[in-house]
Amino acid sequence: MNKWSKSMLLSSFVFVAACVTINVYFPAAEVESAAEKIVKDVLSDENAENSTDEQSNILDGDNIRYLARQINPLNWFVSSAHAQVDITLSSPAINQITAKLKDRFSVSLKTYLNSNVIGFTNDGLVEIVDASTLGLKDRQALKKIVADENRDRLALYREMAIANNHPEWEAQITDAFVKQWIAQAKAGWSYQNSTGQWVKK
Amino acid sequence: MPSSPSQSETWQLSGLNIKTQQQGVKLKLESVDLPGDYQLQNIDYYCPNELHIYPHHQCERATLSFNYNKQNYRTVLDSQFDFRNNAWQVGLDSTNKQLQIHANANSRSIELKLNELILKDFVGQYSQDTDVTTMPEIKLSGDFALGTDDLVFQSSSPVKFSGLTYEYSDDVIIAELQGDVSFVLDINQQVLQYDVHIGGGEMLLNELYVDFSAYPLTANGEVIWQSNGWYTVSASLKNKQSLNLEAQFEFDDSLSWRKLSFMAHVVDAFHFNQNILGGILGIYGFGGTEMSGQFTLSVQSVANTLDQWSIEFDDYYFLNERRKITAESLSGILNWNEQIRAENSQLHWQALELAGLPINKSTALFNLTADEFNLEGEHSFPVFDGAIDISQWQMSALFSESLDMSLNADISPISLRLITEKMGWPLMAGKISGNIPGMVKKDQVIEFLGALNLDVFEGSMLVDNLSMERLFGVAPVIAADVKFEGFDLSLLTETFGFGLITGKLHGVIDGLRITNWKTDRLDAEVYTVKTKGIKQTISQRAIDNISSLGGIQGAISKTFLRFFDDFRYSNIKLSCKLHNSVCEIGGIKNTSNQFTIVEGGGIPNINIVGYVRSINWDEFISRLLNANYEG
Repeated sequence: MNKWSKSMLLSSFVFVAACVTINVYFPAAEVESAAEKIVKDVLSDENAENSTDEQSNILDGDNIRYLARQINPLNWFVSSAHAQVDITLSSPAINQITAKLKDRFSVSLKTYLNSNVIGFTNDGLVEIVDASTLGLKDRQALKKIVADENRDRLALYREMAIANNHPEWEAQITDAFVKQWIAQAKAGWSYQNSTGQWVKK
Repeated sequence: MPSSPSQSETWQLSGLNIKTQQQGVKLKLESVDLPGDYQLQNIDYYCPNELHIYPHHQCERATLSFNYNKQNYRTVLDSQFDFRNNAWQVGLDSTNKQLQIHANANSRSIELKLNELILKDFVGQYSQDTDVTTMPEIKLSGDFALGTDDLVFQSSSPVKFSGLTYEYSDDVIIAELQGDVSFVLDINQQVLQYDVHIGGGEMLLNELYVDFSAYPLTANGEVIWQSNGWYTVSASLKNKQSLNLEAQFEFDDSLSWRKLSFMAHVVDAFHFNQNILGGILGIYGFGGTEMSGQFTLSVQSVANTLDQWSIEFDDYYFLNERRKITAESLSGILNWNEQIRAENSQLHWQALELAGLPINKSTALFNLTADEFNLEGEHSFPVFDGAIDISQWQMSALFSESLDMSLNADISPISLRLITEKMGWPLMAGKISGNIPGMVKKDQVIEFLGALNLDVFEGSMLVDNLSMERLFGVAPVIAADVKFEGFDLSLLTETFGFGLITGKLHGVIDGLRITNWKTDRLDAEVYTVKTKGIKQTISQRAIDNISSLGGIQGAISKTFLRFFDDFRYSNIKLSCKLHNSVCEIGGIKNTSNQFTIVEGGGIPNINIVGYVRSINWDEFISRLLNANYEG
C-alpha cells in the first residue's frame, strides 16, 4: 500500500471516528424523532384525521428525515453509528405518563386548545392564554388541568432522559418536545413563539 | 342642591322666566349661584298644578332639570313649603324612580330610597366624567338615612344587593354576588361599621374559588380611616357550618396591605374541603383529598410578609389515596416564625401514613423556624412491629429547591412479612433493621447521603445511592444500588415458597429503578458463596422451579431423579439485566445462547442450563414468584 493510500485510509478512520463522537454527545435527530412519535401518540385524534390524506403522509417528518439521511453522503459513513443510538421510547414511567397525557388530551385539553383557552408554551408546557369565555368554577378546574399537564410533561422529559441513561439530556429533550408540540399543533391553536408572544398556528 | 331654604347664605338667580299655562306653571332660570361657588345652569322647572310660591308652596310630581358641571340632571320633585311656620318637605325622584330622596323640616336626616338602582347606569347617566367601564356592576335596593347634624350615613334596614360583578384581573373576579348589607358610616369620625351577608354568586381569587350559593358567608366589622392615608380593617367572616375567621389589617388606596393578622377556625374540615380547600389542593396535585375534624390557622404579619403562622389540629383526619398519605386523629400545633425562634411544635396522631409508610400512634416534638426544621430530642416512631428510632433530625433550606437534611436514625427490627403484605408483594419472612443515613432534596429528587444498612434474611444489605423522585407525584421513582451478603437461602426460598435451597446468597443489584412500585431497570447478579458449616443443597421442587424460569416444566419430577428429595450443588448464579421490560438472563458460564444457573456438587450431579437469554420481565417475575410445581 503506498503512502497516499495509507494516509487516505487513516483519514477515513479519523473522519468516521469524529462523526461517531458527535452522535454520542446528543443524538438530536433520534431524540426529535422519539419526541415526534410521543407527541403524535398523545395528539392522536388530530393525526388520525390527518392520516386520511395519504399524500401528506409521504411528506411527513419521519419520511423526510429518513430520505435526507439516505441521500446525505456524510451518513454513508456514520449510518452504522446512528443505528447504535437506540432512543428508548418506552419505560413503565414513560408509558404511564404518556397514557395520562393522552387521556387528558382527549378528555379536556383538546377542547381548550381548539378554543384557544390554552396554548403550548415555548418551554414545552401549556399555559392559560384566555379563559374569559369560561365560568369562574371552570377557570379553577382549568388551572388544575394545566398544573397536572405540566407536572406530567416535566416528568416525561426527565424520564425520557433517564430511560436513555443520560439525565443530563433533559434540557435538550425538552427542546425537542417544544418543537414537536408546536409542529404538530392543529391550525388555529395558540402557541408561544421564541420571544414569548402568543401566536395562532 | 340647597340643603334647606333657611340657609343664611345668599343665592343669586339670573334670567328668571315664569310662564303660567292651563296645564301648569313653567319656570326657567338661566343660572343659580349657590354658596360655595356652585352654579346650576339652564334650570327648567315644571309644576303640573297651579303654583303658589308664598306663603305656602306645594307641588306634586314637578319635573326639574338643570345643568351642573356640563352635565344635565333630571328629577321628579314633590315639594311642600310653609314659609310662615318654617315647615317644609321635599321629595326627589330620579326619573326612573330608582332613587328617591326625602327631607323635611321636622327631621334631622335626609332619607334615601334605592329601588333596584343599577349603580353603573346611574353614575353613567349623571356623571359623564366618571369612567364607568371600570366600575363594578351592582344593583341596590334599600333605605338609607343621612344625619344632617352628625353626618352619619347609614342603612335604615338591610340593603339588598345583587349582580355585584367586578373583574380586577383574569384571576381576581367576583361575579353576580347577591346578599344584603347594613352599615353605619360616621363621616366626621371616618369610621364605617358593616354587616354583610353574601348568599349567592361566585368568586375567583387566584387558586381560590367560592360558590356563595353553596358556601354563604357573613362578614361584619369596622373600617377606620387614618390620617396617614391607611385604613384599619377588622373583619369577622363566618360560614355557619365550617368557618369562623377573625382578621385585622391595614390597606391604602393602592390596595397595599400591612399589619395583617388573622385566625381562621375551620370547625368542619369536611365541609370546608368540599367547598373551599379541595379545589386548591387539586391544583397542587392533591386532588381527591378527604378530610374531617377541625383545624385553626393563625397568621401574623409584622413586616409586610407573613412573619409567623401556626396551625392547630383537633382530631383531624386527612386521606389522599393517590399520594398514599393518611393522618388519623391528628392533634397538636404546628408553629412557624420567620424572624425569631418559633415556639416548639407538637403533633400526635393515632395513625399516620407517608408515601405508604405507616407510622403508628406517636408524638413528634419539633421546631420550625425560618427555613429550618429540628426534631427536638429523641423519638421512636412505631412502624409495623418495629420502629424508626431517630436521635437527630435536622433540615435546612426547607423552602429552596435544594433541601439539606442530616439524620441519625436506626430501624428497630420490623417484620418483612408486614412490609411485604402492605406493599402487596409476596410475603417474606425475617426482619429488617439497620441505619438510615442523612438525605438531601434537590427539586423533586430526595437523595440519601450515605448507604442504608439493613439486616435481612440473616445477612446484610447495603442500599447505596438511594434516591426517591416525585414521591408524592406522578410515577414516583425509587432508585438505588444494592449489595447483599450472607442471605440465608433457606429463609429466602421459604418466603417465596420456591422449594428449599440451603446455602448463603450474595448479590449485587446495580441501577435498580422502581417506578410506580414496579421494577423498571436493574443490572442484577445473585450467587451462592461456599461458607464453612453451611450445607449447599437444592430440593427437587426448587430445581423444577428454577428450570421453569427457562420454560421447562417438571425437569426432575418426570425422571427417575424424582426419588431424590434434594441434591448437593457447588454453585448457583443468576443474573438479569433489565431494560425496556426485557430481562437479559445470565448465569455461571454464559455463551451467546446458553448459561448455567446451577452447577451440581455431588451424585447425582445436577446442572441446570438455560437457553433462553432474553425474557419478558413480567413473565420472569411471574415464573419466579408463582412457580407452580406440576408433578
